[in-house]
Amino acid sequence: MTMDDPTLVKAVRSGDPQATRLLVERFHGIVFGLCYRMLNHRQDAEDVTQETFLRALRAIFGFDSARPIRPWLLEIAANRCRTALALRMRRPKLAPVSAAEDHADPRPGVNDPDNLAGELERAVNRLRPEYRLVFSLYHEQNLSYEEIAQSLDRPVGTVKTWLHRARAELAEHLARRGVEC
Amino acid sequence: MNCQDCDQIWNQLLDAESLSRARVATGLEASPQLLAEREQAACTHALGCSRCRQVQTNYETLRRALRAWVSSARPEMTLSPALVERILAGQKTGSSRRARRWRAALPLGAAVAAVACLIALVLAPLPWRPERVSPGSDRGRPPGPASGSALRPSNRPSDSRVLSAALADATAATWDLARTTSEPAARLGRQVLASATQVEYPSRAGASAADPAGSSYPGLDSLTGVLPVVPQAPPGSALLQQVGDGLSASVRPLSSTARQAFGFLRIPSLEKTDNSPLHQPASKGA
Repeated sequence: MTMDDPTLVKAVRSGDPQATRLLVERFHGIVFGLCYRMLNHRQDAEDVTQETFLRALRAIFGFDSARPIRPWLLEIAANRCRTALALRMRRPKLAPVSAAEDHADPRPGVNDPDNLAGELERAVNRLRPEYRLVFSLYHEQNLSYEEIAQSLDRPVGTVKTWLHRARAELAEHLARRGVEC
Repeated sequence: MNCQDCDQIWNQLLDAESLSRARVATGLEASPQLLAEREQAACTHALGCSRCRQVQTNYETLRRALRAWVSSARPEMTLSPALVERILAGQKTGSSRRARRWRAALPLGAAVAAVACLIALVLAPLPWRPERVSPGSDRGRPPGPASGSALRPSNRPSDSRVLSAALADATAATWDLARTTSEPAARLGRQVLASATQVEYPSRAGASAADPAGSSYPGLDSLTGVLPVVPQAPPGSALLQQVGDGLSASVRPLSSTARQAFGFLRIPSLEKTDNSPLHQPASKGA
C-alpha cells in the first residue's frame, strides 16, 4: 500500500506502528546518506541516523504537515551532523592527515569513470562541513536551493555562494591532483 | 561577455547536472539548447582569456567527475538491514523510558503541588477578611482614583486588587503601630510637663492629693521615693530659668548665633538684660 507523505505523517501521529515503520523505511536511506557524507564514518552515521529519526518521531506532532517532510528530516539530520562534528573536533586526533594526498597523480591521465568518482569523493571529503553539506544536499539528495536554505536555516544567497565555492574548490582540487579529461 | 559571466554560465551548467526537479524548483530551468548556446559563448570567451580557459578546463573535469560520482554506486553507503529495527526499537525504548520517568515523578509532583497550594492558601490575601482602615483617615484606603466611580475594585485586574489590599493592610498596621507607641510617650510627656510647671513639687505624702492622676502611676511614686526629696522645690518657671542661666553660664562666651539658638531658655532674663545684643537698638534704619 502506497501512502503519500502527508497521509503518512497523519498515520504516524495517530499512533500507527506500521506507519512509523514505513516512514523510517522510506527516508532512512536519504538520512543515512547525508549523515555518512558528513561524518565519513559508518557507525557514527548510523547513530546520527537513529537519533534523527527518534527526534523526528518525537517532534512529529509539532510538524507542519503542509510542509514536505524530506527537507525537515534532512534539516534534523544536518543539525545532528553538525553537533556530531563539533563533538568530534573536541576529541584528540589519532593521526595527522598526510600532506602527500595533494600531490598530483603520477599517471598521465585519469579517464576511468570510477577513478573520477573516487577522486571527487576524496575531494568532497576534504571540503568544509557547510560546503560539503550543501554540495551533498544539492547533487546527492537533489534538493532545490530553497529546500536547502530551509533545511539549513540560511538565506538562498548563502546557499548559492557556498555551492559555488564548493564547486570551485572541488575543481581546483581535481586540477591539483592532476585529474584531466 | 566577461569572466564573471563565464563563471555564472558554468554554475548554471553544473546546476543542470542535478535532477530536473531541483532545477524547476529554483526557476533555473533552461532548455538544453539554451544551455548549449551559453556554453558555446563561454568557450568563445575562454579562447581569448587564459584565466577563463583554465577555469573552463577545471569545470569541465568537475562536470565529468560529477556524472561519474552520481551514477556510481557507493557500496559503503548501503544500509545495514538492522538499522530500521534499531530505530524502531529505540523509539519504543525512548517512549517507555519517558513513561517510566513520568510515573516515577508523579508522586513527587503531587507532593510539590500540594505544598504549593498550601503556601498559596496561607499567603494569599483572603477576600472575606475585613479591610483595616484607620479611623478618621483615608490613608488606610487602597490607592485608587480620587472620584472612585470610574474604577471600582471589582473592575480592576486581580493583581492590582491584591496589591491595593496589601498596601491598605500595611498602612493600617503602620498607623496602629504609630498610635500605640506614641500615645504613652505623649501622656508621659504631658505628665512631666504638668508636674514641672506646678507651683510646688508635690511632696511624697501629698502626691495623691495634689495630683489625683498620680495614683494611677505607681512607677512615678516609687521614683519620687528614690529621688531625694526637695522640701521647697522652686516653681516650674524658676526651674526653667535656672536651667537657662546655667546653660548660658557654662557656655560663655556665646556667639550671637548660639545665643539666638538657645535664647528660648533665657526668655525671662532677656527681658531684664537690656545690654543684650539681641535687644540693642539697631544702628541703622528707623
